Amino acid sequence: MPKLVKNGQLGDDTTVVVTDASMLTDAVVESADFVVSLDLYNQLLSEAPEKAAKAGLLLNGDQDPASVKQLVKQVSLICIEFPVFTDGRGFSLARMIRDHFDYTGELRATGAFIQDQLFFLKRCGFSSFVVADETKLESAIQSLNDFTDCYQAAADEPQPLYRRR
Amino acid sequence: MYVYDEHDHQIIRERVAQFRRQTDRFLAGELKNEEFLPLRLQNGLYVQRLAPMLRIAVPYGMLNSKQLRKLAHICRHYDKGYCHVTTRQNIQLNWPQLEEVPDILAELAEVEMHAVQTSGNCIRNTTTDQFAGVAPDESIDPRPYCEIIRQWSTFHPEFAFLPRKFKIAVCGSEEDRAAIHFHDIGLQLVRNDKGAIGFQVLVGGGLGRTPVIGSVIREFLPEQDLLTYLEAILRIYNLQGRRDNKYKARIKILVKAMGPAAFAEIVEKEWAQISETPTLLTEKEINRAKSYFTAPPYQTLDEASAQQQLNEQAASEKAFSNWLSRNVCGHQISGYRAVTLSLKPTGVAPGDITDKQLEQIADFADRYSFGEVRATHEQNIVLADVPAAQLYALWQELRPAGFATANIGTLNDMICCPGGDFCSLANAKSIPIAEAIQREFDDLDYLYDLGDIDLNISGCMNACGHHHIGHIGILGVDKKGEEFYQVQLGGNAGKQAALGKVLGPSFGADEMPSVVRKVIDVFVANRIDGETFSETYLRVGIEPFKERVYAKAS
Repeated sequence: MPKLVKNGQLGDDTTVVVTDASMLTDAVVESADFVVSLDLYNQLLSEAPEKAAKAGLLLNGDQDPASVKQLVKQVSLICIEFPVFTDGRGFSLARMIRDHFDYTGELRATGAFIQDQLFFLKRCGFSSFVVADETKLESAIQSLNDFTDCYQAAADEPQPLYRRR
Repeated sequence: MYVYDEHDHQIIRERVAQFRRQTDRFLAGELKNEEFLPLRLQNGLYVQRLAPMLRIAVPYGMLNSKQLRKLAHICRHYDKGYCHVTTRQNIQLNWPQLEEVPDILAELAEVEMHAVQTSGNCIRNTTTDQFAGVAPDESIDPRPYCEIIRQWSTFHPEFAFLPRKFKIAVCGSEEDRAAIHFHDIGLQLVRNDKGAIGFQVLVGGGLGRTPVIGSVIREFLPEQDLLTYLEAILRIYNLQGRRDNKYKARIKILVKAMGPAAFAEIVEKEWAQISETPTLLTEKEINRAKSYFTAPPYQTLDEASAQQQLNEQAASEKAFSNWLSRNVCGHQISGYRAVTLSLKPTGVAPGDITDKQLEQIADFADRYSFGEVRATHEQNIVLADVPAAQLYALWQELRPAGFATANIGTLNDMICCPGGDFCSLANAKSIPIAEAIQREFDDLDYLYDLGDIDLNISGCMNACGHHHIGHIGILGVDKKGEEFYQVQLGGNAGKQAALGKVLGPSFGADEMPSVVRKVIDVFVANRIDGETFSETYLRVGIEPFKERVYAKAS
């Protein structure tokens, strides 16, 4: 099972990715540990709001950030999936969700990102990370703290270095 | 010059440790090749035709003598005793060993240097005028702003995986020596009618496969808004720039597709949301940055008597006179001059420099120019603060060291990429073409008579040799495995920004000296009253050149 690094702690990644409404069994809904695409989320909102209330949101960078602006207040888990690790849209999407939309819930990085991006992901506001390869966990956790100081303001540090030095 | 404090040191030390660990993981097979690739690129490390190539950052071209001596040591100890000055004012090593790169970075860190973001799809080294701070036509010194941009862009967490590379240049003078029209973002320092400092912002310029002249998207951006505005531009680009095709991924394609006005509008909209965040620059920070670029302890010198002495020395020694008129230029401070050391003597790859020469330059810098030099995007070295009265003594020392070739700004001072001799992207060699042209035009008096001509050579479409913006541009192309060269005319890197036009079908390498000779002959035949090449070209157009170059032998 993929592992989840959250607040520096280690756990299993149990979240179900629901790609189709038929996957929403009672057990899945009750667990309140599932994510759906933006389209499916909007569908649930109109057809089964009680299910939408328990869902998390799965984004991948294709969405216009403005289209999730209203939704972030209703969810407590947003996953941003990296289709390939070189696709950096998720970094900007995360910052907009944190900085512009004031999202305070869990923001999880999933997909093809690599451990060497963990520090930047954390700075952009991601609070949890799915690590597929268990053997790399220790090394990955180390990468979360590659740097102790930074020049820019970001989601983790609102003050740029020049306001702190 | 900027001096690191404990924060800067800490960040660069941690980078060295991070890259050492990444290299170890790669060598141990724990990091896949395709994953290591962007990581090593963001540390300036390419794997080239013959060996890895390491590009060392020289922020906006500034180097001190201590750094030059360290570079000399690195060239000697880790490489084959020479390095290369690039068209982004950086330094390249051609033969380092992958396993030793972390050690090289550790050595660089000791002298406040690094290789951060000198390659890869991230924000690259910010470039500027090599005469920044001393140019008589300068209104505002661009270097403090370059340093502010350097710090902001260094390990910016959001912009390390952009669709493509991203280059920023800043100009603070009347003449544009930083080619700001051909950068992803070009910044022209200006004052508004109230005297406040700000920037005219250009976006979407670039060379490469699709050369584009940048568009102005804002006439005046107050200086304190610099970083928030850059952040807005980069965020829009990061989210909307194309990622499906490497050749359409630069910001110029996005700006072209949307139109500059529409692009400006969404940038302004994004900016409105972040303009008041703490990333807004403080007056304290701008002043802190400026405090590192204050005037060195200039002496009060007698300009008139120094000039008279120079006139006398020039009158009695023609070689000195030539050097004085080509390689020496004016200065903001009376009694001082800026001197360009030519790295283009015939027979040496343009921009190449040996370990011993680096040490010699360090000594010249210490004795003649307050211990500092600048690397230029034309691949030369500048001593920016030389007392006029010491020029003759300096010249006598530069000659045996090989730096006094009096060819700056001439046809033989060509910009030239490493080309097929080194680069794995190149379609054709460029260094031998440069040398063949230099040999064809070996008569210095003739060269001087021709005046300022930018001749730029790239070994492939990626245009590292800026062939689109040379008055004469040469592009290496591959035709069924053979190397050919296309000629372009009429490019201009400065304020009269223009892209060259293709003259016609390409030529073999051995034809190139005579082709350039014919182009020059047409210029000379059509030239009126001491016109420059580019003035004549603008007046007569490309046709006479075409006719002559492609005339059938009769």
